[in-house]
Amino acid sequence: MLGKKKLFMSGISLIVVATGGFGAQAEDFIDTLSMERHALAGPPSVPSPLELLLADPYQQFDDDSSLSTTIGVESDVANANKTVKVMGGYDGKSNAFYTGAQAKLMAPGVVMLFGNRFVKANDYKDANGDDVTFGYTRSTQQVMIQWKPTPVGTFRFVGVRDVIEDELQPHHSMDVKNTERLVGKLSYDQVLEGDRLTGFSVDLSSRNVEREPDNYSNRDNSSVKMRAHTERHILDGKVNTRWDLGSWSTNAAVFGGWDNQDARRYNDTLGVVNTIKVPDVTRKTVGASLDGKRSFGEGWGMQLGMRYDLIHADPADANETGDVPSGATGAAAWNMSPASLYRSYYGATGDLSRTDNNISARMRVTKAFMDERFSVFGDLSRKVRSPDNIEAYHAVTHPQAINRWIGNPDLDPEAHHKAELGMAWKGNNYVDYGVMGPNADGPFSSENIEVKLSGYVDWVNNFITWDRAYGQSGVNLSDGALIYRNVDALFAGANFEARWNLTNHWSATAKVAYLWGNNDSDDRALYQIAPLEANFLLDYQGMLASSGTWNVGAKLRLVSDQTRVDEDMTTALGLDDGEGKGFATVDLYGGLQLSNRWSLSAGINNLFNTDYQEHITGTSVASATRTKVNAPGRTFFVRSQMNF
Amino acid sequence: MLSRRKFLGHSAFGIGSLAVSGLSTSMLSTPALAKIKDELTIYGPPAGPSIALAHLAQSGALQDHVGKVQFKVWRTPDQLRAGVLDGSMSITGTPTYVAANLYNRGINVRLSSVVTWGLLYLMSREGKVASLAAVRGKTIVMPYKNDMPDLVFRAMASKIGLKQGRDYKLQYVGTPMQAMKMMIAGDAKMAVLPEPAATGAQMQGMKNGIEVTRALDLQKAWGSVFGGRSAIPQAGMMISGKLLTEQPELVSAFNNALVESGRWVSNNPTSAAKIGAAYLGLKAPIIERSIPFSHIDVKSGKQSKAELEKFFVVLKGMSPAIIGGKLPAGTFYQ
Repeated sequence: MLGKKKLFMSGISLIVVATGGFGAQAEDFIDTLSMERHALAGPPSVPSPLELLLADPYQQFDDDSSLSTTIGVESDVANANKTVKVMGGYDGKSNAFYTGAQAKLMAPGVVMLFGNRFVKANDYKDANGDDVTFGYTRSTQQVMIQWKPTPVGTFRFVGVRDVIEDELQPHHSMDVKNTERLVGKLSYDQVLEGDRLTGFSVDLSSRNVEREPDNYSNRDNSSVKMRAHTERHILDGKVNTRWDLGSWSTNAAVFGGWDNQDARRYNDTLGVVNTIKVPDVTRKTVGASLDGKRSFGEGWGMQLGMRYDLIHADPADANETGDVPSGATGAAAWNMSPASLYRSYYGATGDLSRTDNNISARMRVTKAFMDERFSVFGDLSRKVRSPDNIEAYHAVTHPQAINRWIGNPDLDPEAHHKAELGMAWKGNNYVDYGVMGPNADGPFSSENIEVKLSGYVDWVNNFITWDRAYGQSGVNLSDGALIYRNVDALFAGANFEARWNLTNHWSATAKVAYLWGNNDSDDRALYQIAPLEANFLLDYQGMLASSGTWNVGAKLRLVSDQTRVDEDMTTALGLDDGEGKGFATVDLYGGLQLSNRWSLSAGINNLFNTDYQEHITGTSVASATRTKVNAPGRTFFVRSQMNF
Repeated sequence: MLSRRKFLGHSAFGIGSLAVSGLSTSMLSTPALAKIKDELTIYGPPAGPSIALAHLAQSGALQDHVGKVQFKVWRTPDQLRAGVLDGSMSITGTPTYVAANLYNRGINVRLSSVVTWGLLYLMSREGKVASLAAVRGKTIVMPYKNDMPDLVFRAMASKIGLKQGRDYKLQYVGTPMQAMKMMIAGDAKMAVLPEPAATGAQMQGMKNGIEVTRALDLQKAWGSVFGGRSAIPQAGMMISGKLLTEQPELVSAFNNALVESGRWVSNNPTSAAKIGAAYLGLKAPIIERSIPFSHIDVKSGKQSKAELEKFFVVLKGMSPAIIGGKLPAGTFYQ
């Protein structure tokens, strides 16, 4: 499962891919960020240019991201070759009003795209008619520029500013007063006509994140006023060279990164720092990768790769302490330094920096049949991930041990060993969802269908698990504090997706996802594993005489119970808020567009007003509590777009 | 799937390789038209205006007359010739002069409508030009020698007193794609291109940092040179006489539906491009951008008769064989 943090980290590549004309960057063959994990927490992903106009407002208590409802004909207004596009709408799920605008300017060799989106979300009603505390204000600006000084050279720049203010967290002790992200990426790609060296690219990126939750700006609080402030700045660079080596098409890359994160928690009643949350951690990475692919004829293909990461992390302020006055309650506990916490819980002493040498490798074999309509693949990989700044150095102290949250500098990197098998079918008459190829032979032809099916097993050595201190091996205390430790874990999963164009007008989709995760060392279920989920879409698209098009559709979402949970915080982690209870929802939606210039979309979500809670819910903030919040009841949405 | 290269190679709406000389005497035999009952296949060239035909097939507009309507692209002029002769292509898109030529040679066909009123452009790397006279002293790359782009261009140049070889030079190439490549590579400054190759050249230039200008709309130039509307009745729908006799109500419904589909395509270029990409194998953004320049406006043969005859007279003046030696009789225009 791809967590929201991963989505944020990949925000730029999402942006670049979504722009199409800006030239999509190839994903790393060995991506050591994308691994099987429990659901992660973090701010929502940065919107891509397409999401700027078409995405629903972010709703952390209603996660329908597995398969969103069909966007429908309004996408033809959003994608039209027009200079300016504007959008406005209301979404009852977030009780949000939102607007967006985008402008594209083109000149020979130059494409510029500017975008803006604004969302104001408010309390919503659950299926019982009760108000659920919710809301935020979000403002996003995007700039993208592509310049080709020569036919074989391309500069690209992407800049994004995304600010979320007053994000209410009814399930946590703090609301997020402010989240601000500034992302910039500059790249250059050169195509060469060499016999062997065929091109190179240089990528530089900068990401700044500031986040500030507190417990008093957006809620009544007569008790102690607490606030946290996090700053993170990440610089990444990569040089990739492309080679034709005989029958191998090869990429050889070197890369590096600098990542600094600092976080403090404040007692604003006393006006003091009471926790060195993340002690000015600097993480430096250098690495290299080599991967290549080739065909062997008769449909056989192979892709091989290796990757090396050298990662050094250092907590510069590990010995710093809070400055709670000695007379205050629990002052000694509040003023424990990160170093003393690491020492107490893990016995970590001396130099707290850490260096990892990670070697990853991957092999993928494909075989295509039937004029490449049908293909199967096998994928074997070993991917190694070092602990992140939180897992290694988080240091939230508290007089009550159960409220402490302590990273572990002595963690080993986790090593995933994944085996995956899959197949794909794409019939000759399946062009895209809702777009049939010419002259399909009846609705039940296999040529009208696209099917993807895969299954995998991922054995993880030294999986970095969140846990509580019970005096486990490598953990010196048994006080119930939140800690990190290495365990062996096993993930297994399967994904199925079928898209079917019955006619030029009718289309249907089925998507099923299942993930199973187990902490083998402790013989218990892993926390925050999404339950089995199946989604179904049925869509109809019609013509409006000579004026435009229209569409209607329905979505059925089936979520099963999740009985494999980690809910006991006296013997395990207890991050899951009980077992997940299955539910089913139905959404209805439709839209029309005229002359590719104006569209109106509307619909009803949760038609039968089902009372439900997501098992993975409220993931905007990382917290030891996972109190479930009621999802929205029956709501409606409406959205209109225009272009000029 | 038709390759992009091949598509652009044939993108002159079938004008390209339909050399008049290719219409052999074997075509004079009476075609054996298939009996249309439950199924009708509409054919069209691998060019943008065919999207209207694809839309018509998808729209269900003929469901009262035909059980199943399909649209197919004819890939080569040979396919078109063979299909018309053996009767399998009872409704097909074609250059208007080809329909006239077949009719005059005794093939039982009619022109039911004009679909596009010209999609030819003088493209340049040297900016816009005020009139056709600006090509004096220039070398122009021309696809399809002795076919529509060439004939139209030379007819206009001759009318304004420009003589090929003396006042301007033509460099002939096989396909619009070749001409487009020469422009992007800097080997040519000017070319006459049909849509969507003209738009393709602009987009390719845009992508490579090269400004390719739509220097002159040859439809407007045609109006200026010969008088009348700025339009060239370039291509339309050819219908077998047998189908017209046996199922006039179907032909009538087809003509009416095609008017609606033509409007839909012109009104909804983004949506139409998705359909077009599926049928034509070209990237949707090129199709989308080419539609406004393809002058799709479906008018019946009868409505278009005056402009068609005016057009045919010009072609006949260059070589009577182009239209089969004479102007078609009135029954040709439906």
